[in-house]
Amino acid sequence: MMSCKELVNLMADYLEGQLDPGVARDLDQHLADCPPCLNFLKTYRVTTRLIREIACEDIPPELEERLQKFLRERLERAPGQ
Amino acid sequence: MTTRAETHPGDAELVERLKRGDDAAFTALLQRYQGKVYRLAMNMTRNPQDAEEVTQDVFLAVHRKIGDFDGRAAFSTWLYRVASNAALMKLRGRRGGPHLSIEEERPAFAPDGHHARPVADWSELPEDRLLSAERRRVLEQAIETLPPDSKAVVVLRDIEGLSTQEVAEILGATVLAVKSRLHRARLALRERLATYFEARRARA
Repeated sequence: MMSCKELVNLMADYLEGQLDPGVARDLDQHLADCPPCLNFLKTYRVTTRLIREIACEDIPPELEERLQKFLRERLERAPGQ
Repeated sequence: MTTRAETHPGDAELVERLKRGDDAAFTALLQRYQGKVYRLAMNMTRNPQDAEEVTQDVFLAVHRKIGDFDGRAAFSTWLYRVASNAALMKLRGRRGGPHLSIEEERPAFAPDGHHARPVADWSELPEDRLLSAERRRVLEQAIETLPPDSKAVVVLRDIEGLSTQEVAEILGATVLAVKSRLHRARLALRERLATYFEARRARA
């Protein structure tokens, strides 16, 4: 029988569907009988989603222009560097 | 009618042209990738000025070192490697606040392998409560204090959505090392959020 600790260690592979089918079945069985592990799984999964959601936004257009100008000047000053 | 290849040359072609000294190819690569490099730098450093400097350094390095790029990996992988290294240098050079101890921020287990503490489910809170401004800060601060190597894995894998294999190539680590670093970082971040939610619930 898989322990809670073992289950937590397999969680990332489980969520990506990378566990051997037999191990995944054991894990499913454990989850069905263990509310703390089910809660842990749900909060682990939502944590990865929240990480994605706080990602920084795209490059501001004025920075794109500044960057191109900076690089053009630097590379003109030192061609082939 | 122009073909797609004429209007949108692939990375490999642009790289070849850049190696021959074609500045228009450099500009095309810059325009194609500056947003990605900036976002990676910004997610790693969480500081617009640092991110801008990293982006500048990365493209100067691309121009200078394109001759070292041997085409065995995709150009984008090589570029991410240059960018991750530049962002990591910036982070390591920072006079540091405390790093989150990944080893301490771990779920606790009893000797028999059961959870040592109750585990609450806060995953189904309404979206506005799940990611309120306050919660966003808790998570940003927790990510901020991850050790640089762990932060790189979280940013590349969970934010940029690259595969474990790609992240391993970019960071020069094994797939197993990337997986384990990512899992421990996520556990630490989950633990931070759990502590926050449980403290809120206790106050409520």
